[in-house]
Amino acid sequence: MNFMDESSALRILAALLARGGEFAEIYCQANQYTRIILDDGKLEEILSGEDSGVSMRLVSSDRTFFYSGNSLDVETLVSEATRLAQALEGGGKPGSLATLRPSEVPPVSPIRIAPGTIDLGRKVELVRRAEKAARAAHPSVVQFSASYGDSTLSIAIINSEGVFSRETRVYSTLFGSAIAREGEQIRTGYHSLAETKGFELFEEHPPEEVGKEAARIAMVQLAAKPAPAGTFTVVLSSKAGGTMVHEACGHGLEGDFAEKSLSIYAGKLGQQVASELITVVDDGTLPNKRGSTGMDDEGIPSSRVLLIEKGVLKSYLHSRRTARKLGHSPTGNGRRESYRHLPIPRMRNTMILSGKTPPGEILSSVKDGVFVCQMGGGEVDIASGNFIFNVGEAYRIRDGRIAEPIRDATLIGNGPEVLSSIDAVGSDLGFGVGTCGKDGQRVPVADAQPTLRIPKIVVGGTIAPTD
Amino acid sequence: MAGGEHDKILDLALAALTKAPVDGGEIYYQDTHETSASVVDQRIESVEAKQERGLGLRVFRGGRVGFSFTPDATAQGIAKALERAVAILPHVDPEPELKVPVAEPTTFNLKNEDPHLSAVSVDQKVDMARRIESCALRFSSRVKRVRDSRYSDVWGGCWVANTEGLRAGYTMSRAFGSIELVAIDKEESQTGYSAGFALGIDDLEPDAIGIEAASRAINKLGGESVTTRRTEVVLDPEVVAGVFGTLASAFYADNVIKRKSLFQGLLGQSVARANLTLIDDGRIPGALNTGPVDGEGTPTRRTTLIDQGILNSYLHDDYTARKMKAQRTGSAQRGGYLASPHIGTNTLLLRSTGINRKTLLGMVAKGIYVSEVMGLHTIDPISGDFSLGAVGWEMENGSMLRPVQKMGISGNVRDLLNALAAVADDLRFFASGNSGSTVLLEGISISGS
Repeated sequence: MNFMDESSALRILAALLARGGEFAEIYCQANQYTRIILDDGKLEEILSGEDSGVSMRLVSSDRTFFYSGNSLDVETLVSEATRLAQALEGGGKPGSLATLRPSEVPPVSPIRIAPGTIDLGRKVELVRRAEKAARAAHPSVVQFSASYGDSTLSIAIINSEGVFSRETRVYSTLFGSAIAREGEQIRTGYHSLAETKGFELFEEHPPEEVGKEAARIAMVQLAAKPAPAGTFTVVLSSKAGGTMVHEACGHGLEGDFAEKSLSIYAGKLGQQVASELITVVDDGTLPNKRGSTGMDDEGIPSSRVLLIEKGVLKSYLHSRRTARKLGHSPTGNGRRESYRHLPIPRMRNTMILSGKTPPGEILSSVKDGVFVCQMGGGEVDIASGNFIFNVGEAYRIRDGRIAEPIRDATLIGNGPEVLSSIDAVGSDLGFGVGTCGKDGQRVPVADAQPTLRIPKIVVGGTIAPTD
Repeated sequence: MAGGEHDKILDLALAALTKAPVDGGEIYYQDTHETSASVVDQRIESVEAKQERGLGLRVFRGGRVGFSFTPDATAQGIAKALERAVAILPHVDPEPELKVPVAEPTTFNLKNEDPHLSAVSVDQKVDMARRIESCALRFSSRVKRVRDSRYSDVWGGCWVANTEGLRAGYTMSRAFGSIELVAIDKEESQTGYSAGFALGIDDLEPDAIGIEAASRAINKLGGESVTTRRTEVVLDPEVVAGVFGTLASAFYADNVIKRKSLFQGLLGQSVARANLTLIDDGRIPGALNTGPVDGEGTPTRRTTLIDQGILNSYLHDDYTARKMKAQRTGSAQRGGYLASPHIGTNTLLLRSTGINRKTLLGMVAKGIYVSEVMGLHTIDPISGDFSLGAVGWEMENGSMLRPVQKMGISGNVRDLLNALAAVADDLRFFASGNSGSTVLLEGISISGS
């Protein structure tokens, strides 16, 4: 998608910088998407449309002036740009403007079948197939809902440093949630597929996978006993994905928190913040992973950022702004939910790299503990590092073996304390997918970790030891 | 906005709808402006202005509904959106009760906007953000850093019209102040957040916002672990607002129809202790979500959901009211022109059990005061199970003894509703859109070390 030609872009940038300023930018977006929702046995809702708009930003002495609107009309944008520039004190000379270098960012994730070429009927079929598989899995599965989503997001980023980069990102997702019921007991299980990939995702992973897995987890939950409350040794399976790394350290390493010394990890570059077994990276270049992009939403090429190496803090995740404030280089982590938002430092695909211990050995080393196979959403308090995340599928460990399933557990801990205490890191690696929320902006992410042993962490459950 | 511009757009879309191969249709038009000013260390961080203008179209045919949207309010833009919405119809399953909503007259005299808000200067906005920050910093030397001190506002209108002759809408405005900061003592950092809102900038209370955020952060400093136990628990009004806000979806009639609600089949039965009365009200003066009509043009009203412990009503939109042969409750909510209407709350509130906060706290011989929770999204509105992380205070004889942190609170909402021993008369409306009062619960299990 072209959005605008060079001369129009230069006019707008010149209007932004007319009264001074160090940096000006135009961000154009057209997001064509389809969402299909099946619930209660019915194809309930289909949403399809194109969300398009433009934002402009002017940076002067670390102050950002921002406008966003629906109109792509150049004259409207020039007059809004002029209005933005009025915010500056004036009297200064116009900010400098480099020659634009138009380029198309090569896709980091190859797309074989563009979602736009598939008719609605075939997309609808996916959620129906997922449902059929879930309901066939067990008679106790009484309810199932599924949602299909695809998004073809075209963006153009044009700035006063000469960047004029276009990229198209394609997202495909299928989410299923099964409810199993026996008597008064009602339990939910869910599973999702989400990648930066076209419709071929569903050739590689048939939708039945989503239905069956959601149903399996709901059935495990039905058989599960309420989780114990107290402090336990916890083994996080690699199958559980990386919610822990996302909450326990990822957010705390985002440059906006570090720059204002708000995070528990601020000012600790070069210091030991985790066990020597722990190496953490954030990588935006992994083909087809949900957090991958060719460039970030400020036109900085994507890369792999080494955050923690053998427990030592090496880098933060930066947007242009936070990198400038701390005198570091941008890391390609400036992301935004849409043209409506300012870019802020965000994770992409965040992972703890594999260690050396066979995962089976980690499990068998625990006499009495909890084995976590699926993690749900989480939350972290940046300043203290205290985090919580909820656990989907989990089991008690007794004498080194997986014992009875447990439900409704949460893990409650402190980021640096937990990362420093990890005493076994598996030789495996498993990915999870999610949508991360921060400051009201939601962006697609993935995370990964090997099997990990945490010797002591608070498990929030309902069965008190005194019960 | 220019007078009558929205009417012209609604007319244009209605004309297109009457020619389309559908039984009927509905247009929702949104035209809103949002601005904000953010300050840290009294310096401007950002000044933002956003404009949202567009329409959402629903078409109805034989119990099927198609939805699309467009920011382009011209005849061509509307025609394209209409084509996309019609193309959806063959693929969705029919529900005979899905029909174009019928108009219902209403009068609405509440003041819902400050006409001067759109004229507030950037300097005034920045000044408000600065005042919030300086109040917080002045409050205590332990407040060391501010992440974001912010003024923001929204004004504009939304209108809905349909082929059944319904035409409704309103203009509104709200101004917000908020601050997120960090208090530091020795090696420990804790965050504090607070926000307030009003119809216009002049009614904001920057001092109260700054001081509340500062005290929230300071109060968490030095928090120790608790021992795992079963105890009396007092919930802060903001925690109550969050808990009931999350639980709200169990009252949505569509979830009841799909058997995905904790309260399915329980109308007229006891679901809580007799001292609990829970109300949803779309017409509380100045509340965040107050207006004459909902997202389908149905008049808003006051609905008692739980009446002295007895489940009295669900929340309905036009479709669920027809389906369940109930009265519409004006609960169809829209997340802007991009989204189709779905059931949601207006403002939820708990009726006081006739006790003030001080007396309520005095009822606790030994217990825990919960000032903040994490992980509210883990409340399962189907099973009612929840497991939250919490910080607060250890309490003894009505007073706060020592701050505590890294607590887990788990249980089932059904038990929680039956554990409710008292509701104080200190109802507060939060910028999240929910409201809450101080609440006392008996016999709650707390996890710690």
